Amino acid sequence: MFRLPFEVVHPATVAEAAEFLSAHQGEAKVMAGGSDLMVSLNQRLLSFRYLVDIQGLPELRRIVGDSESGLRIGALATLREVERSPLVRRLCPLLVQAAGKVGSVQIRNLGTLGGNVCLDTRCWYYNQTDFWRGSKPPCIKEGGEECYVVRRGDTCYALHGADTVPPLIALDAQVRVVGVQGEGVRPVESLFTGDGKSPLTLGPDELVAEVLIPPASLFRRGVYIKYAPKDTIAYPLVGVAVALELDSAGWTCQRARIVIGGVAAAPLRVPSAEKLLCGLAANDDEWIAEAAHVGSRSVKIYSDVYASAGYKRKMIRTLIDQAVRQVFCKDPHPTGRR
Amino acid sequence: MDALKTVGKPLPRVDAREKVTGSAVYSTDVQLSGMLHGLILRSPFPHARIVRLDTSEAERLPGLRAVVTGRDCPGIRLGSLVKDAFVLAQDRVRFVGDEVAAVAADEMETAARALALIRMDWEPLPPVFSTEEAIAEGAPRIHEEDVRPPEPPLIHDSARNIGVRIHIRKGDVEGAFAKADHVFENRNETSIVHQGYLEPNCMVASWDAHGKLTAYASSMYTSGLRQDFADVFGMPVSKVRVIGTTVGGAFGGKISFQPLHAIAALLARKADAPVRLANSREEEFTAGRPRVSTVIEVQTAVRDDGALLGRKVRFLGDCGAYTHTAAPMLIVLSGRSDNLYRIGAIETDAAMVYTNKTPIGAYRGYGNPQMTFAFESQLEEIADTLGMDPAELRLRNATQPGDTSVHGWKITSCALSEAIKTVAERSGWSRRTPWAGRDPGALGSRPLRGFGMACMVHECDDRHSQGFAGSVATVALREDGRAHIVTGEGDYGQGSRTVYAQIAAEVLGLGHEDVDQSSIDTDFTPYTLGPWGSRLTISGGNAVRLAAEDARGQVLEEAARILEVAEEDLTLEEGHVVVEAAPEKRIPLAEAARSRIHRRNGSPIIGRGAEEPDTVPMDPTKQTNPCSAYSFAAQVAEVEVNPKTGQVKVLHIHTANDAGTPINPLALRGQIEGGVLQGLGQALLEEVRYEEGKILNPSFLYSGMPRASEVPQIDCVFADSKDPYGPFGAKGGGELGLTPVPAAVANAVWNACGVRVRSLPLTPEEVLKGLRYPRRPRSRARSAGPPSNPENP
Repeated sequence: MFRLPFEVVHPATVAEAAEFLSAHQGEAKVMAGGSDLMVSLNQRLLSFRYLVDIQGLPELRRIVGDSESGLRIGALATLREVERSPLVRRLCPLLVQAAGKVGSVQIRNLGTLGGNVCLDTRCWYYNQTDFWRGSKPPCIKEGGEECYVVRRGDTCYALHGADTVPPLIALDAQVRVVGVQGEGVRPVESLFTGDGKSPLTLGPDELVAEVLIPPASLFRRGVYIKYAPKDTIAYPLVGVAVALELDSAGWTCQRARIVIGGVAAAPLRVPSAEKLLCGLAANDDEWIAEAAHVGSRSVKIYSDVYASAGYKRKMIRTLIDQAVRQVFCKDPHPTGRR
Repeated sequence: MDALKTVGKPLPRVDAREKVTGSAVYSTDVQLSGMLHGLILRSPFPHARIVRLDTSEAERLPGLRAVVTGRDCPGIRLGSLVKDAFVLAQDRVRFVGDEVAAVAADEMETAARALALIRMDWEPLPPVFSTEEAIAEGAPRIHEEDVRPPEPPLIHDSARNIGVRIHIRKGDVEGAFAKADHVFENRNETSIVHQGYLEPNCMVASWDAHGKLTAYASSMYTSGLRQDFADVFGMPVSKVRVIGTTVGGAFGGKISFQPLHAIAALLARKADAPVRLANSREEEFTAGRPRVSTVIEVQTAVRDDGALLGRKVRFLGDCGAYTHTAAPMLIVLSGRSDNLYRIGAIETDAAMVYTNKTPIGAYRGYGNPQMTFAFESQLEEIADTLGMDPAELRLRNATQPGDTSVHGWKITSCALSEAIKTVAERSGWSRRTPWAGRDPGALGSRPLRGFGMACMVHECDDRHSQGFAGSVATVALREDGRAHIVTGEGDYGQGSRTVYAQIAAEVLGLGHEDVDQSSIDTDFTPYTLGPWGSRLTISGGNAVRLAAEDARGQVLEEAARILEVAEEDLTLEEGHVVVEAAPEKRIPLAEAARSRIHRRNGSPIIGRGAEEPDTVPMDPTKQTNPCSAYSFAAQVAEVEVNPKTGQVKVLHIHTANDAGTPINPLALRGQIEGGVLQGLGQALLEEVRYEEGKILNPSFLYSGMPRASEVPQIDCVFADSKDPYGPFGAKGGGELGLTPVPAAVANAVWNACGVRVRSLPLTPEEVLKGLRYPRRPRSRARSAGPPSNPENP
C-alpha cells in the first residue's frame, strides 16, 4: 500500500557493494537479514535513497575452520545457522550460547551474525514511531541536541544490545572489513565508538564481511549470561560474557576477558576485574566475588524504564560472579533463564 | 438429564478449521468495491486547547476523498452513563492519542501524506497524570463543563476531576472494628495493562443509497454498536446493520463503542464510499481501552479466631481522560469481591478519577483482579499473623451455598470450599511453612520456593437494568436433518459456538457436527447484550437450550403424526425419532423435518428460546441479587525466587474452578489457561508505562506479556458443581483464570522470601529491594591478593 521510498540494489560482490556505498555516501543503507532494519523503517527512523541488499552474496554465508586455523563465519550466516552449526558448536560453544539468545527462533532465522555485530544502539526515546517522537524536539540520536535519558547530557546514551558481541570481544575475535580501499582485519572491539549516536567505527563504504575467531581463543572456556526482562524476544538488560584461559589442569586462570553488554553504547570490557582473575584458582570464591564487585563498580550506567542504575549494577556483579563460577563449573544455579 | 451424549465432552472447536487454515474472515480482510483507507490524526499532547485546525491544504491533495474533524460531529457525546467524550475533539484534547481529525483516501499513502498536511496550533494546558494529583485541591480541571449527572448511586464531580464515585455502607462497620482483635491495613497499587489481543480494532463502514450504514466490525458488542451508531447519527436502528466479523481476541477490549467506529462511518458518509479504518499496534496501546490502574487501601477487622468481621476500602481508579466504561465498572467492582467471604460489614468509598491518560475499558475480570489482589494479599498476611493456615482461614470464612451475602447476593451453587481443599491438596499446600518461622539465613544463593493462594468470586450474567437482561435464540431443523442456531451472542474466541452446538445437539439427539450457526449480523441475528460478565454460556446457552427444546417439541409432534404414536412415547437419538418402547420403529429427523415443511399447511421447524433471569439490577448500595449464578475459583501458585536477582519464576499454577458442570471441559480449560497467562503477565511484568502522558512502551516487544517459553505448568480441575439455573448445570468460566493469579503469585513470593510487594507488577528490582539479608560483616580487604599475571593486558 505504500510505495518504497527508496530503490533496492543488489550488488554481485562485496567489493561492488563497497563501491556503491562509496559512491552514494549518506544515501545508502546495507541490509543483511533486515530483522532490525525493517522495524526501524516502519518507525520512520531511517531515510535513504538506496537499500543495498547483500543477501545474494553466498560467499558471505560460509562457516569454515578448525582448531589450528581458527573459525571463520561469513557475515551473512544467520544466527540460527551459527547456533546450529556442528562446527561452531564444537569449536566455539560460547558463541553458540550467545547466538541462541538473540530474539526468538523466527528472528534468528532472519538475523545474521554480521547484522548483530553491526546492530544499531537502542533507546526508549529513539526507537519509537514518528508520531511518538513528533511531540518532542529530536534527540541527539535523531539529529537533535537533547538527550532524554540523561537530561542535559551532551552525548547519546542509546544502548548496545547485540548478544553476540560481548562473547566475540571476550574471544578477541576479529572482523574482515571490505571497503573501496581493499580489505583489512581488525578486532571486533575496535568496531565500537562508544557513542550511542553513531556506534560503529566503520567507514561509510565499509562492510563487515566475515567474523574471525583466532585459534588461540578456541581454547578459552567461556560463558555468556543474558539477563533480560523476558526469556525470548527481549534485548539484554545486562549481558555478561566471560572467557578464561585456564592452565592445563583447568584449575588456574591465566588470561581473562570479561565483557558487559546492554548497559552502554558499546560493549564494555572490565580490565580491572580481568586482572583480578588472572592467577586465580577455581576454588577462590571470595576473590571471584571481589572481581565481580570491582567489575560492577568500574562501569558507568544509567537508569532506564525497566531498571535503575543501581539494580543494573547489582546484576552486573551477580552475573560476573556467576559466569566466572560457571566457567569453573561450580555454580549449580545459573541466573540467566535457560 | 441422564447419560449426556454431547454435553460435557471435551470436543474440538467447531471453528477450528477456519482459524487453523487462515480462512477466517477478520474485519481487516473485508474488501468492498471502491473502498478507501482511513487514518486518524491523534493528539501528540496530553492536555491542550486547539487554537486552529486547518485542513484546507490536506483537502487539496489529489486522491484524498474526505477529511473530518470535530466540526463534522458537533454536540455528539459518547460514554456509558457519563457522556463526557466526543467522536472527534471539539476544542480540547485530553490525552496523547485523543482523536482530532481523520482522513480517507484511495491509497493509504495519500491518507498518510494528508495527515501531515493538517495544520494545527495548540495552546498547552497543565496536565494531570496521577489520581492523587487529580483530586488534590487546585488541580487542573480536565473537563470544564458538567455533563448530565449519572443516576444514583453514582456521583459525578468534574470540578474535582471525579468521573464517577460511589459510597457503600453495609452492616455495623463501627461495631465490627470495635469488636476486632486485629485491624490490618494496607495500600495496594495495580498498573495499567492492555488486553493484548492480536487483532487491532478495525472497521469497514459503508452507506447505501437509502442512507443505511453497514459496519463490518471487530467487536464484541454488535447490538450495542447498532444502537450507538443510531444515536450518533440520529437515525433509527433499522438504518444500521452491524456485521460481526471473526474477532482476533478481545478480552473486553472490544466491548464498547469507540471513536474509531464513529469516525469510520463519518468518513464513509462524507466520502460517499466504503472506508476501512484500522488501528496500528501503537494506536491500540495509545488509544485503546486498557485495564484501569488502581490504588486500593484496605482495612480489615479480624477476630482472634480468624473471623473476618468487617472491611473498609478506599479505591481510586485512574479512568484516564474520559469515563468510557468506568461508570458501570465502578458499580460492578466496588462490591463484587465482598461476596467471597462471610463478611458482615462493609464500607467502600470508590472513585474513578480523570487524568490526562488513555481512557480505560473492560478487561477480563472488570476490576476483579485488582480488588482480588488487594484483598487476597492481605488475607494471607492475616493468616500468618494469627498463626493460621491461610487455606484454613479462607475455609472458615468462605461463602457457602444458600448464603445471602453482605450485598444481598443469593448464592445458589457454590463449591468455593471444595475448590480451596482441592487446590490445596493438588498443590501440596501442606508443605507451605510461613516465612516468618524460617531462618533468614536461608537467603543464600539457592532459589527460594514458596506457595501462595488466592480465591475469587465472579458474576455470571449480571443485570444492569430493569430492561431485557436475557438472551434469545432460535434453533431450526432443516429438511436434511441438520440443526441451525441463530443467536445474537457472538463467539470472540471463547468457544461459545462450540458450546451452543453441543447444547442444541444434546437436546435434539444429534452430533455437535450436525449443528450449523449463523454468523453475527444485526439484520438477521437477535438482539444481544454482549459477551460481558461471563454470560454467554449461562444466558446464551439457556436460550439455545430452550430453543432446541421448542424445536424438539415440534419434531416430536410431527413424528407422532407420521408414526401414529403419542408424542410422549417418542425420543430423539442419533438423528432419529425413536419409539421408546419399540426402538426399531424410527424415522430420521430429516423425514420429520421434511414432512413438516413440505406438507400442505406446512411450516419449517423453528424453535424459539428466550431466557430472562429473575434478577435485580446491580446496585451495591442496596441489597440486590444481580446474577443468575456466581462462579468461584481457588488457585495456588508455586514460585521460585532468585535471591540474587529478585527474578520470580512461576513453577506451577494450580486452579480449581467452580464453573458449574462444564459443557465443554476442553474449551473451559483453554479459557482458564489463557486467563492464567494473562494474570501472570499482570503479576510479573506487564505495565503500560507513562512519562509525561506518553506511553513509553507501546509495543508487544516491551509490553511484558509472557512468552511461550515462560508458561508454567497449569493444573486445571473443575469442582463437582451443578448450577440449578445454568444449562445442564453450567456457569460462566471465562474470567476465573486471570483474576486470582496476581494475588496468588504475590503471596507465593512473600512466602518464598518474606518480601511483600504491594504494587503490581512484581518486578525483580522490587523483590530484590525487599530482601532482608541477615547482616554479615564484609571481608573484602585482604592483605595479599592473588599473584598478578604480567601477560594479561
